[in-house]
Amino acid sequence: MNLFRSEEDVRAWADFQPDTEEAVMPLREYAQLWAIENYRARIQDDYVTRFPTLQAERWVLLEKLGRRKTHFWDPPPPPPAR
Amino acid sequence: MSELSELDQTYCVIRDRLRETGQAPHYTELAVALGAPVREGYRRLHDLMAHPYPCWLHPGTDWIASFPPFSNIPTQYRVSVEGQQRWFAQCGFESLAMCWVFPGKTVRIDTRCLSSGKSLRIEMRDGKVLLAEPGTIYGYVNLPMAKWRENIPYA
Repeated sequence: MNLFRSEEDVRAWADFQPDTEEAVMPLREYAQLWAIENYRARIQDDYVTRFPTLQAERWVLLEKLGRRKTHFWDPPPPPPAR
Repeated sequence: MSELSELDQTYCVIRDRLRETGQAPHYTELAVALGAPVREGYRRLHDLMAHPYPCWLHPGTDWIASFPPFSNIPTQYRVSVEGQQRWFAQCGFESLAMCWVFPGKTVRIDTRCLSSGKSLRIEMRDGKVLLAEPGTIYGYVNLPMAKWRENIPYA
C-alpha cells in the first residue's frame, strides 16, 4: 500500500503485477477510499465496537469508482471463529 | 469510559498515547492507564490484537508494531502535525487517513516514491488534500484485498 510519484512510476516498480490494474489509482481516489466512515470514526471512543458495521461503504465506493470489474477488491474471507 | 466495552477502552488508551507521543504503550503502561493489574493489561492488549481491526504485534513479542493509522516502527511515511514530525503511518494509504485522528489540524506526509526514490509531499486537513507535490501522485498495492490478512505488514 504505497505511494508513487506518478502512474508511470507505479508501472515501473519492480514489484508491479500486471493483473492488478484496479489498484492503480490517483491520490484523489485513494484519499476518497481512506475517507469513508471506517477511518473517520477512529477518533470516536466506540470505534472498535462499530468496526464491523463500517466496512460495507468501501465496496459501494469502489463500485462507484468503477474498480470492481475484477476480483481485486473482493472482501477478505471472514476471520476464523475464536 | 465505564459505558465503553473493554476493547474500546483498550483501543482509546493506545490511540491516545500514539496521538500524543507518536509511541504506543507497553502492556505494563496500558495496565496502569486502565487502572488494572499488569496481567490484565497483557490480556487486554492481546484481546485487541486478535480483533479484525488491522493492528498487530511485532512477531514473537508483546510490543505493538502497528496500530492504524499509526506505525510504532519507523516507516517511509513520516507524518508531521502542525509542523512537528513525531509520527509514522502504517502504510501509504493509512497516511491519507492520519488527518482523521487529528481533526482540524494540518497533517503533512513526507515520503519517497517506492519506484524512483524521489520525494513526495502531501498536506491534508479533515480529509481535504491541501497540497500534493508533485500533482501526479498515485497509489498502488500489488496484493488483492482478500489476501491482505495473510501478510498484512507486507500489503
